Amino acid sequence: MNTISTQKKSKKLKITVQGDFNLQTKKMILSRLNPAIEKLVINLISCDRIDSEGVIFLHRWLQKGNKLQLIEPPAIFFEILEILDLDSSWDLEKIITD
Amino acid sequence: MDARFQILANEQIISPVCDFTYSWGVNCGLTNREALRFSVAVSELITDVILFAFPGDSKENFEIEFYHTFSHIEVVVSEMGEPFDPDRHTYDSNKALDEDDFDGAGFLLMRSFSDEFTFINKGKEGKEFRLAKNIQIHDIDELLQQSAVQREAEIRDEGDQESHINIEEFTIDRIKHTDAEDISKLFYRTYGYSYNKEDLYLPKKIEASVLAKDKLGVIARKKDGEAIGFFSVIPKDNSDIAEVAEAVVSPKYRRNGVMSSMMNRIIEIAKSQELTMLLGEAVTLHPVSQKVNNKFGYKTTAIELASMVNVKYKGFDEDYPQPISMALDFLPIFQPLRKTVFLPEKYSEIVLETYDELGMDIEPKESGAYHLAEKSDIDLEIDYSSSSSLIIVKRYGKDFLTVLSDMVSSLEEKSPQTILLDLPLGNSATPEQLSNITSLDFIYCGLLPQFHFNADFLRLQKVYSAIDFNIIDIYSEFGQKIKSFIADEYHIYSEEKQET
Repeated sequence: MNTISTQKKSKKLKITVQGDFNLQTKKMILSRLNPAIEKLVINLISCDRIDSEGVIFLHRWLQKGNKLQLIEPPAIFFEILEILDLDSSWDLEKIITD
Repeated sequence: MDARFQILANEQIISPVCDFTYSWGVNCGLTNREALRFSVAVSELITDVILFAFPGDSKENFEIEFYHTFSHIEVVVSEMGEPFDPDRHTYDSNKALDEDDFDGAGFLLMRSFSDEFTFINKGKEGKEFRLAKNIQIHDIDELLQQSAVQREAEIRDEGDQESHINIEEFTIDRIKHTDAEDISKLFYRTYGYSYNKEDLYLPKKIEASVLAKDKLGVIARKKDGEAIGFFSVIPKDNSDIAEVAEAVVSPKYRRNGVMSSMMNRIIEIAKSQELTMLLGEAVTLHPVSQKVNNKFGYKTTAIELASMVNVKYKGFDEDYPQPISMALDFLPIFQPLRKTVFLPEKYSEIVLETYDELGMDIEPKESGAYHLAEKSDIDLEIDYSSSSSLIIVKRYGKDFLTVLSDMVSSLEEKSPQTILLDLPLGNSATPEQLSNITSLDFIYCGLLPQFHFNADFLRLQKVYSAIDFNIIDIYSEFGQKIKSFIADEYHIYSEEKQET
């Protein structure tokens, strides 16, 4: 089952995803966002599967000029970025952390 | 089928279904990485169904089915939601980057993470999506990759030893899961690696099938325990008949009555299970299987043209230049009670003769009063491996011609090899409805007694490849009559098509 836990700190929202990052997860995250939040820190250590809903959500977040930090995304995340030809527009060295 | 789920169109089910897909994929032989990628393809498919077929907070259900064979797995999603066509949604990365338009991204991932993605619009019957993934079975691959020379040498060596051996005693027993390895060896000794059902080379697959009670089978053994013959039938899902799945006797022990003894035992088992008919499908590139069926009293009632892709059989190495047609041979075990059948005029004579061949007692009528239902009830089964489809009419409705035409058009977009159409002979509307669908160019295939729901069906066929009837080898006299009846109709339609 998909769950997320969140922790808000001024303009930053820390999210831990348990399970998949899909349509349901995206909706859960959207429900916890507000206009003041500028940075998402998403812990994906316990996420094995992400699909296009997850990747496109993150891409749009960045395109709006927001900040993003991903902790240990699953291997398939990088594969999807490449298939959708989005990898060139992502500064992965900045975004990905261990 | 391994599993079927009725699912509410809600995003909460995406993860559980993907988790199931992943575990099931690994169980079927995918690597962890491939199973994960395939489960993402399923995630994309379900998400698209939820978002586009059932937009808004829908309370509708859709169906997801899981199938596997020796060499691949497939997931089929059927839904009756709003129309949408994947072919109209092509992902363009420039549009994604410049215009924030990600249309088609999900379909691109489905195609990337599976080996085959197919979409069929079934008209008013909804839509069907299929994702398939091939399984790499390394041990059998290695065997198959042995050089052809080496394999032929092995088979020749066995052939040299295959002089006939008389045996006085052998036993026939119901198969147990512990017989699996002996059955695999028996097939290898008889066919090399040329038998078209790859599962039979994998003892674990046979074991699973016996344990699941999918098969009723017997094994023949010599006194010293050596397996010398195997015969199995598979009961049909929707009727009290069973189809012969495999029948083999080790070459050197043939002509000892092993096949007859196994057949008699299978008939006993079939009687105890109250099965009414056995069906044997026999290839027509040679008459051997038909001869065996004929010897045991099977009657040819139908011929399916271009029914399977060409495969090479040991001992029949020459290239066969067209898809293989099959003779459908039925052996009545119990004669069903007398029934009324409604026969279309143009097929009345041949169908009556077929009933006569089978010794079935029927009351034939050419037409009768009937009321059409509001909606037709039609099943569609697609066999993607042979590019053939089967349409089963369960009930005629006022929309019959429209629904059938839509279904055929949609199937034709996928370049089918054949489409089969089964019409219920117990339905008084069949003669008139058949005359309404002549524009669809179906031709005769044959009679299928007790075939669906223990009722008789008229099978028609539409074939999309050129057929040379001279090389369709039919053994029985009556089978030849069916063949020339089909050939005449086929040639009339072909000439009409050329003229137009």
